[in-house]
Amino acid sequence: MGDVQSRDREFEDALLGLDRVAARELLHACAREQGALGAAEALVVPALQRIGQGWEEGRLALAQVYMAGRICEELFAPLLPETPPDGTGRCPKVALAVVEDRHMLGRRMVLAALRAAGFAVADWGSADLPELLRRVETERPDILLLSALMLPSALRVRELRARLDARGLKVRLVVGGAPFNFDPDLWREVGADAMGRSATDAIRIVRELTEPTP
Amino acid sequence: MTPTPMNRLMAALSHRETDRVPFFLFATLHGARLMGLTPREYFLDARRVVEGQLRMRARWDHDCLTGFLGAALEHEAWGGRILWRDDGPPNAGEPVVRRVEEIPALEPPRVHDCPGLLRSLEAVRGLRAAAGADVPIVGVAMAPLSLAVMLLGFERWLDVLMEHPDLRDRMLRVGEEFCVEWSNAQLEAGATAVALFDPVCSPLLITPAMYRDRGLPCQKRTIARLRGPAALHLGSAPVTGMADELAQTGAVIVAASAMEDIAKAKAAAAGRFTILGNLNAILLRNWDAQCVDREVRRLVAAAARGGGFILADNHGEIPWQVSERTLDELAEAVHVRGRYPVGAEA
Repeated sequence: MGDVQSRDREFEDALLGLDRVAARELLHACAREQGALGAAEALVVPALQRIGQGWEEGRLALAQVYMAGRICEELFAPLLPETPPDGTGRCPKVALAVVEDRHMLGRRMVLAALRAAGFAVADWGSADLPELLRRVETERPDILLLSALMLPSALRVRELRARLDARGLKVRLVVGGAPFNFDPDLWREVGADAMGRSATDAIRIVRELTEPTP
Repeated sequence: MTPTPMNRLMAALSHRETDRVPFFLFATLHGARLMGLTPREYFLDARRVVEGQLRMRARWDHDCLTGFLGAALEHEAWGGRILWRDDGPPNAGEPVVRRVEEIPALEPPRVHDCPGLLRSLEAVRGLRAAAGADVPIVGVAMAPLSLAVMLLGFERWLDVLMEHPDLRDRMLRVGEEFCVEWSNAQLEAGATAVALFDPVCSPLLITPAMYRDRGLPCQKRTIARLRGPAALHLGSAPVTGMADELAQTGAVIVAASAMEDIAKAKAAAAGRFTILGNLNAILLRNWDAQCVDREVRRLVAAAARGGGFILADNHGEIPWQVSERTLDELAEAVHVRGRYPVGAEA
């Protein structure tokens, strides 16, 4: 087995080549040495982040990012603790939903990337505004990731933010999807706390939002 | 020759200049707005769509009409459900094919059995009867590789595309049969050309190798079977880097993305197809008259010279949230700035 850097490059190559056997061997070897969350840090997150970066730079296609995330999720799920802690020892409550749409690919990719990075994520599927409000009220996530494919759905987030604020419900909203990519200011306009362009952006953003403030 | 929308289109396709740049305003939803109807009330009645399309052309003097009633119509034709909303286009409901095991037995629906598709054909016929031969009518169909997303859902289709070659080929075969029949029915009803929407072939979604191996052959086969010209729309994806492949598809028009330089896209097309684009339809809702004018001038200066260019949005549908006033300003800007010959300052 090579050094850490060459090993995570090998892991990345295995993911892009859809070579599950090689990916599993590398992941399990790393998990034996460093534990499941250590393997996420050393192997999975760097590989997924480079793959996500490759998509943003136009070197890789979304299909490759999707398959890489899915394979990581498949291989990693059996190794994961039930509720992985954040840096404070507390479990950040992260939920994910698609706003009023049946286009689920973005949600699926974010879910795979976050789970492969060791986060427990509640998957709310497709939800309309009343459903989102109800679930925030009952489940109280710290962070709610929202995927939108069409402009009207993206604009619904503004309404959601207003209603959450009116009820005094504190939750960080993170948005992503095509309308936000085409209008870089839209996430601010709808009152979101952050916007991600790729599934692996979600890992960075969730970490930043859950880091304890000094 | 009296300039007509059809003349403008033909000149653009022949890479010639006429009186002005052709202007394709895909304001499908705004017909409902002008008539004070919800999208559902509007799209479920072909006569209303005809009236809305004609009202919009009377107001904005653009160069095409369309009988497009939403892509979700095709989803419905395969047994799916249309989800209506009051502030946007009809959307496709849950995927029709729930399990990949259903793919081998999947058969395409016939156009004449689908009330929604027949309604769209009625709109095309009504538009042709009202507008005569002088105005191009654009038909719309999902290309096979992208139709499969509607039928299976994106994730399942990517799984099949990447890992199940037999099922993938079966999906593409049934999708192609449907796409050809549906496109030809629109051409027969009076459409001038059919725009094939194929976002899955976007270089952002699949690798160049996958496009060359799967997407391109499928597009070539499909377009070769159409009884009229085809345009390709990759769903707001950049096309500059794949111009050589796109030139092999047989499409006469290709839509460019707002995320790419229109001059480079046209240079890459190199006279092999006409470029359509590339106003940012999402940003348009926040543009004032000055901004609209600046963007139109920029596009005309970059791409209009020598024909081979149609000015349009990059998405293929103006969002409901864009005001009529903005469209007034857009039309005015194209009519003034798009006049040939294009000046240096355009």
